[in-house]
Amino acid sequence: MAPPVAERLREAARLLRHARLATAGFVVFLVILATGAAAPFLIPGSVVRDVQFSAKLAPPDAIHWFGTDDFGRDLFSMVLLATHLDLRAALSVVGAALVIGIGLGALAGFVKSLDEPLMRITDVFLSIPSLVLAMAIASVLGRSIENLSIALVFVSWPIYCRLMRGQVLSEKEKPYVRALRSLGVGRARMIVRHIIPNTVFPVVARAPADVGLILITLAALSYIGFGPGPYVPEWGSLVAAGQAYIFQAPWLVVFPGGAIFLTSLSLNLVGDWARDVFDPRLRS
Amino acid sequence: MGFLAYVLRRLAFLGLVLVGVSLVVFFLLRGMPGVDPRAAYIAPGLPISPDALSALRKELHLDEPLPVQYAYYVADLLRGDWGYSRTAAQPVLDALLGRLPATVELAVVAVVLSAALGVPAGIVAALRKDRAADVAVRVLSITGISFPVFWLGIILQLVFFYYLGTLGLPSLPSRGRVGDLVALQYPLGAVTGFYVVDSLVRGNLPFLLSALSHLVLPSFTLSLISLAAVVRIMRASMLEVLRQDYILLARSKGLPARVVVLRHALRNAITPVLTTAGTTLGILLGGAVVVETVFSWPGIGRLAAQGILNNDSVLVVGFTLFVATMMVLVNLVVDVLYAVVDPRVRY
Repeated sequence: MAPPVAERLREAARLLRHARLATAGFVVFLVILATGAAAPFLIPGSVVRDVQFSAKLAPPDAIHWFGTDDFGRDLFSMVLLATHLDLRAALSVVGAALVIGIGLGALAGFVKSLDEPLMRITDVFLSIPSLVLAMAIASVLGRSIENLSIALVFVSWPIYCRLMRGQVLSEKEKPYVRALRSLGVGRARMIVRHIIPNTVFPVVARAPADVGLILITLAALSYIGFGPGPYVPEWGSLVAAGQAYIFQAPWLVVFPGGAIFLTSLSLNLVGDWARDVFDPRLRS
Repeated sequence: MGFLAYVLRRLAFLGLVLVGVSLVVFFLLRGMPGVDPRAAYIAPGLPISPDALSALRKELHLDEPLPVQYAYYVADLLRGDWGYSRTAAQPVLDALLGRLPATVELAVVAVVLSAALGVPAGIVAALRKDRAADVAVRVLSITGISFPVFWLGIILQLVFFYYLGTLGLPSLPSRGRVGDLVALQYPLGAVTGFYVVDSLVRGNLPFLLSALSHLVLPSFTLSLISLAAVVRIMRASMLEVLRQDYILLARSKGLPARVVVLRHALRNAITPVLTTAGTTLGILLGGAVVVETVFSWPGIGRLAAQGILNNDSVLVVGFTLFVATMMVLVNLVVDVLYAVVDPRVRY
């Protein structure tokens, strides 16, 4: 029988102490997350409408740490508010995709008649590059951050579904599952209480790196035209707006893009470690 | 099972995938709840007569049940009628095919770059597992995938075009496929649409140099998208192969390490990199949308991005179908080549 959850978490904590890069990434991400969560309380929303063309494109100084943008607004405040929006969107997308993917994957692995149709559906989804499919869905739904998030959930769940199904298929052959079945444990209880807790870790281990990937994809799609417009701060559209002034005021691009890079780097450092710890093929 | 049976089975599978893709695309254009299918064909904000609307209704067969509409839609696709793009002011398929060489040229250079950098890096990381070189490769590849490519592209323009230029140093071009002046002074009669190939065929040296210099920044930016994946797959596969008995035999025969790695191990270790070529191409075509927009590269990705700004769903959805079809075809070629090289996969 697989080791219980608490034991796995203890082992993960032990390994984390040995992984300095992952720890650094984790700390940096927590700081960014806390900043993003607090941003709407620290920064008055009026900053966004505080247009002063006389103060536009001012370089960074003691008052405006990141300088001012083409509307004369404080870029530091704009980037912080954008951190809130982008992180919330990316975390919701990955959370929703995980729930859908794990649920359907467990069903596919456990219920024979659902396996074939679900796997063929994931084949189709995985045969289209996710950024391209997300583009098409969001373009039909209409340009907005909400529709973009929906599109990203649509393209993200199949990989979790595949992974989960593989996990469940090998797990359900284990002796303890047969033992539980002979004790009369029902199918639903078996999946929810026993199979999923024992198989979900390698699937969830992908999540940190995927949040990083979704952040970049969201910002990229927003950059190419799905952005919410100049009065809603979002990382990708801040970069797009700044690109017009790149040679005149490079900070307009450097800071928002740097925020994306730092966030995704911190998540990828954690994700790289998580993959090593939870990937069953790499453990001996 | 024979070779032919294997190929037929792959063909059947990929055919099914294409049918699935066409269903997804059809659903996007006609079946989205709350979206009028006709909206994609009308320029927003312009008045349209009721007559034109009902003509459009008839043309799209909207009065028929969905399965019948789908049959009409697939028949149109097969005839090459992918709809009309307002953005390109030409039929969708013509617009995509006309801009395809620019994108393929960019993607091919990016693939070559990421293989040239990624394969050696993966080998070194595997040979020096858990030592300084491995950690360095790992940290670099994590850093690489963390870059938002559009941002990196703009920063590269800033440094290699603007800063080098203002310092009076030779700088790299940041926009387009070829210099405007060069294109005027040394016109290139199009042969294939691939500027590097065409200028070589015509012996047009100034055009070739200009085209190559325009490729540097965008192709490097694009290659970063697939580089980390190449390194990771190469490293894992090399580690796997190095554990096998025939490598132990080669080593115990006293063969030099270089020969064991490059002649014996690499041949088997490189196959996973090759079999993921279809997926890699797909990732690069997705990345091309972003990179082509940053560098004003006149390919299919930039066209799709312009389509988004124009609410031209016919074009954007057509682009999706086009990319998926290309991926399926490349996967088919890879599968067949793989079966030719390695007889084991047929069973």
